[in-house]
Order: sequence, then C-alpha cells, then structure tokens
Amino acid sequence: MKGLVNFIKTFNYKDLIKGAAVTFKHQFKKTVTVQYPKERLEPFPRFRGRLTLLKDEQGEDKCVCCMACVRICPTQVIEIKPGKKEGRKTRYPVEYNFNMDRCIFCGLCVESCNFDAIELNNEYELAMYSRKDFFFDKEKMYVPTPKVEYKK
Amino acid sequence: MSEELKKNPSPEENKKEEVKKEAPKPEAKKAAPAAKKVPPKPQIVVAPKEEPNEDWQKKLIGELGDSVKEAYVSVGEFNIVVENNENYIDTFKKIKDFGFDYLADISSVDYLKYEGAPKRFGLSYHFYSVKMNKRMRVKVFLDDGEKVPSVMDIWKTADFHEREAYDLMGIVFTGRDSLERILLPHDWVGHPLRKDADKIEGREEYTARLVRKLREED
Amino acid sequence: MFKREIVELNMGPQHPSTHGVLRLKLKLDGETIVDLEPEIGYLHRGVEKLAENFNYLQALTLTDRLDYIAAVSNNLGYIETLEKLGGVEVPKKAQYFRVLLTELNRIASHLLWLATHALDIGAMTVFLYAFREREMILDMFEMYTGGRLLTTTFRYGGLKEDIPEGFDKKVKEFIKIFPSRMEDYEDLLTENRIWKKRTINVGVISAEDAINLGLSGPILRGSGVPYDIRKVEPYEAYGEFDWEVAVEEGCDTYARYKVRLKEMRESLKIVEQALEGMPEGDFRAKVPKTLKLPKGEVYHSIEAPKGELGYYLISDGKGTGPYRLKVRGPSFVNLQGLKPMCKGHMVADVVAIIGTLDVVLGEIDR
Repeated sequence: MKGLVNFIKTFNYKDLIKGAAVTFKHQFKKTVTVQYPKERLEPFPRFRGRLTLLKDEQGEDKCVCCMACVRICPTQVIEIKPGKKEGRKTRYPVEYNFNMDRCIFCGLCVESCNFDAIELNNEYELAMYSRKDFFFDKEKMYVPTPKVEYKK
Repeated sequence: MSEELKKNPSPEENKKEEVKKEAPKPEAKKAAPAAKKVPPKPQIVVAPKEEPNEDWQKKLIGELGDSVKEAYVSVGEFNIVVENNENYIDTFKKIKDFGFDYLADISSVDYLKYEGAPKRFGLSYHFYSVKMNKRMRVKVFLDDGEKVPSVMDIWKTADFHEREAYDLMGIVFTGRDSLERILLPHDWVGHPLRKDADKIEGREEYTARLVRKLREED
Repeated sequence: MFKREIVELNMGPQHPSTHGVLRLKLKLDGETIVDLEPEIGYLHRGVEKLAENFNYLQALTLTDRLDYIAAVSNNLGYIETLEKLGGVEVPKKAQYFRVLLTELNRIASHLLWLATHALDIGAMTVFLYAFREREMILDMFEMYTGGRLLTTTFRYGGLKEDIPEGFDKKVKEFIKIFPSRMEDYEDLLTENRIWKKRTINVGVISAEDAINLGLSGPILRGSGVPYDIRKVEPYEAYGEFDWEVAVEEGCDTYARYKVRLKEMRESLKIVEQALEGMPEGDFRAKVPKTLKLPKGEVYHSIEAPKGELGYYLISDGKGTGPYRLKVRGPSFVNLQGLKPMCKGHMVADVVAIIGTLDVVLGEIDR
C-alpha cells in the first residue's frame, strides 16, 4: 500500500514545474555577462591595480625618498636609490624599482606615502609572457601598460 | 612572570589606566633626541593581571584544588596555570565536568625570546562553555623535550590541534594514537614555529638573501 | 567467489569537488566508506611564522589570505584582537560599517557555498544565479576597499577610509533585489526531490558529537545548538540590531542548507538596519602611527561565515609585531567532522558532505 502511494506521488511534478518556471522566467531577463575582451568593465576609482609613480605640475617627481613604502611593503618589492640634484630641495629617486611578480596589491605603500607620490592605477590585465616583464624601473613606471584592442 | 608583576604598580589597575600609561610613550621618544645619544630604554607596558572575582571562577579554582598553580584575569580573560604532573588529565576532566564542554583551541608557544616565562614552551587551551556562556584559558609550561598527556579522550577535537602543535612546535603528546605531522610533509626535518628554527642542520637557511641569489642565478 | 575486499582510494588533491587541494584517503568496501583520513598541508604557506616577522599592519595582509572568500571577516577578527589588547574604543560609525561589510561578506561566502554545493550535487542553474548576486557584493567591496577578494579592509581603531559616495545606493539596490533572488534559489532546490534525496539523512551528526568535535558555525547550528558568537558574546554593534539565530534540528546536510539560507536572510536584515542607523562622526579613533601593544596575551573569536574564527595573539611589549599569532580557523576544526559524517555512506555522498562542511583550504593549511 505504501509503495503504491509513493508510486502515485512520483507523478506529482509540482517541484519540477516550480524549478522550470524559474529558469524559464530568466529567458526574458537582461543578460548580466560582458563580452570580454571586446567589452571591458571599468573598475572603481579605489581599485588597486599596478603601482605607478606620479609627477607634479612641473613634471618633477613627487617622491622624496622617505622610504616609507619600502619599509611597509610586506613582500619587499620596492627598491629606491635616492639622489640629489640642483634646483630641488628634497631628494629624488634616481632609481625606483618595482618587482610586480611578488606584489600582493595590498595598497599599504600608497597608504604609508605622505606625499601622494605613488598610486595603484586601474589596470587589471597584468599578465605577461616573461618574468622579466614584471620588473619595472623608473621610466617604465610612469607609462601605462599598452592595451591590446580586440576586434571581431 | 612574577618579576613583571612586581614592576606593575597594582593588580587592581583597570584598562583605562593602561591606556593612559601608553599615552606618554611617544612624548618620551621625542624627548630622547634632545637629551642626546642616550638611547631611551624601551618602556614595556604590561597588560595588568587581576585577581579572579566572579563566583564561578572562585568555584572552579576551589574544585580544582592544588593543581592550580596560578589564577588571574588579564584583558578580561580568565587564566589558570596548571602543572604537567600525574593529575594533568584529572584536571581537564574536572574542567569538563564543570561545564566547559567546548574546546575551542590548543595553541603552542615558544617562549625562548619572551621575558619572564618560567619554561621554554607553553600550551594554551581555550575553552568555551555552551551552557554557561563563559570562556577561560588553561596554560601549562613545558621544558624542551617534555612530554604531555593528550586530552583526546576527553575532547575529540584535540586531535588536529595536538598534531599541529607537534608538527610546528615539536611538543610530544602521549596516550594517543598516531601523532603524525599534519601540515608539513612527513619527511620534514625540524619544527618551524620554534624561535630557533631558522637554521636546520643539513638545510640551507631560507632567507630573503638566498631567494635573491637563486633568482639571480635563474 | 565474492571475497570481501577493502580498497584504498585517493580522492584529490586535484579533484573538482574537494574545493581546493584537499586529499582524502578513502577505504572502501565496495561503494561504502569504511574509513577516511584527510590529508592536508598542500597550501601551507606558514602564515603564523610569517606574522612573527611582520609588524601588526603587515600581518593584516596575511589574514586576507586565510579564508579568501571571507577576507573581511578575517580582517575583522584580527583587528578586533589587536583592539582588545590595546584597549581602544572604536567610533560608532566604524562599528556600524564594520558590521555592514562583514554581513555582506557572510552573504557572499554563503552564496559561493550554495553555488558550489549545488553544483557538486548536480544543480547547475543555482551556481550561475548565485555567482551573479555575489558579483554585486564584490563590486561593493571593490568600491570601498579597492580589492574584490583580498580586501585588507579595516585598520586599528576604525576604518581605513571614509565611505565613498554612492555606496549606500548600491547597498539599497542589493537589499531590494536579493529577497526575490533568494526565492528563486529556494524554488529550485528546497522542494526538489533530487536535492532532498541527496541531502536528507546524509552526514548526520548529533549535537553532543558536534560540540565534542569542536564544530562551529552553521554545522553546529544545524544540529540544534544555538551557538552564534554574534548573539552570545556580541562584538562591535551586533547587540543593537534585531535578528535571530538560525537553528535547525535536522542534524543532516539538508538542515545545514536551511540554516545557511536563513542566515543569509538574517544577514540581510542586519545590513538593512546598519545602513539605516549609520551614525555620523569619525570613522577612526585617534591612534599612534606605529602601533605598539602592551605585553600580554589575548584570545578573541568572532563568528565568521564558516564558524568560530579565533586569533590568539601574544605580544612581548617590545616589538611592533606579534610575538606569536595563532589562528583558529573554523574550517580546520570543522574538517574533523568529515570522518564521523562519512562513515557508512557512499562515495558520492562524500562530495555532498565536503560541500556541506564548507571548507576553505587556505584557512586549513594556513
């Protein structure tokens, strides 16, 4: 008797219809996916991307080599060689080396900087083909990574 | 520990005073360069220890009797220090019968560079009582190579914690089956969380300098 | 002719259903599990040793990488441990915002659990839907902290930065949308006969055993023990909100599924209240720039999405970093429940039970 009841119960497709209704409903909804890499999403202003050096209005380095970023970095990826030059009261970075393959993008360097001399920019396509490409010297650090355009 | 206690003005000192004590520190640092060349001795602020006041704490100390070596309240947490002797397991059984049925954590500590610890190693058992909604900590100090009975018969959860303490700190637990390494490979030499574990015989010291050297060779 | 033979089978470390690099040594009698031994440590990075060489702020970045799907909760537990030892009063605004973010994180973590758990058992649609909603929460994290997964959110004494403009709008939008999405998940799963057959009476553990094994979080609450640290020892501003602890009596995988679904609803309630009642004022207390803590030790635990997350911190009063930092990861302890839960079940049920334990290997291996 119990087996018969259970057998009849199997023809109660209420749960299946309920589930199918949900998926059917979603056919008429707007798609949420983006056709990457043809379309790209823009990250928020606070996004922590690649480390970049900043210049002031005169085109001078804002960095005064206080070494705060070097000291706070948990993975020790920043190296600065300070120097002096004429017409500038503070020190300036002769070399500013940044090793991106060990960077954990925590943003502590930017937080520790009292001169707003560095920032984490909004780049997120940071994969490279060679380990050497992850090494950024001072010249490379100002320039944004060239973007590759994909077309149909 | 007792030396620090003496330096500490009064055990009744509460948290607010502790914050006040912390405040003048930066000033002392600024004043130091003016005095010139005498490096100021770093002033160590110690979190105050108080006498246990609540009824359940006194009751528990009374029930445990002689096995309690020291009992105090620090940063709002109730601590009991016990000794590693033949009553060790009995003490924990009494603690469980008292109501502390949930063993949250067993932590192992190496006090090698810590001032005021009576012995080299330490184990901290953190308990919670689901019925009473209370927390407490039981501490035991151990010498190097000293074995300690396992509490796995009382709390099954001690299994992983004890294996971890053995693996990373080298504390040996007796009276339980299969004390194997848990996080590190089975053929690993040494116990990395020890304060003198930087150098292991037969292994090159793994430092930032070595890493840089290896990378340059790449 | 039919000789009984015990077969040893390795499941993992590369297996889609083990959620990371978990390896299980199964002993099988036919299809039935006789014994099981988890083998862990493939993701061991030595977080506790690293923390001893870092200062307090640098060690915060390590806590992100413990339970990487609930980084905000990990940050909160660590920062609160420091604050408990340092004795700092956190401003009300920071407390409210901390609660808001951690509850959003709890929803995100449970959504990921729901997605992968359902996918393991065979319901793929929920996977896609849950990830869609999780994306909204990750967007909020990105808007506030700059990181989506590894957030490094809070700072000693309060918040890192002020709340950005437009953040409340995003949260309100989420609060509006989410209840209807929850109904979608329930329509797909709760009454579904396959889901019920795969989860009811699978992985049963009694309340007594669960306490003895040290299980916590939704697993303990699924066995009928109302142990939620947010309720029994309210930290931050949790005491000021109106919400309930999700408890189910079923002790099985289905009960834990219901607990987590209810928890998401309760979390949304807290988020709503925290957003409405957000006070004005400072977001960070006045603290010295280099943090130095008094000599002493402290254990502090919070209710992370996976269970009781505890930090045991010892400071020697001299250095600017921890002398010893021990992490009591909920997943590490919860994994011990796998053996008693799996015994006597089929191999396919192991997949469901790993899913219901909701383990994250970053936290287990540390």
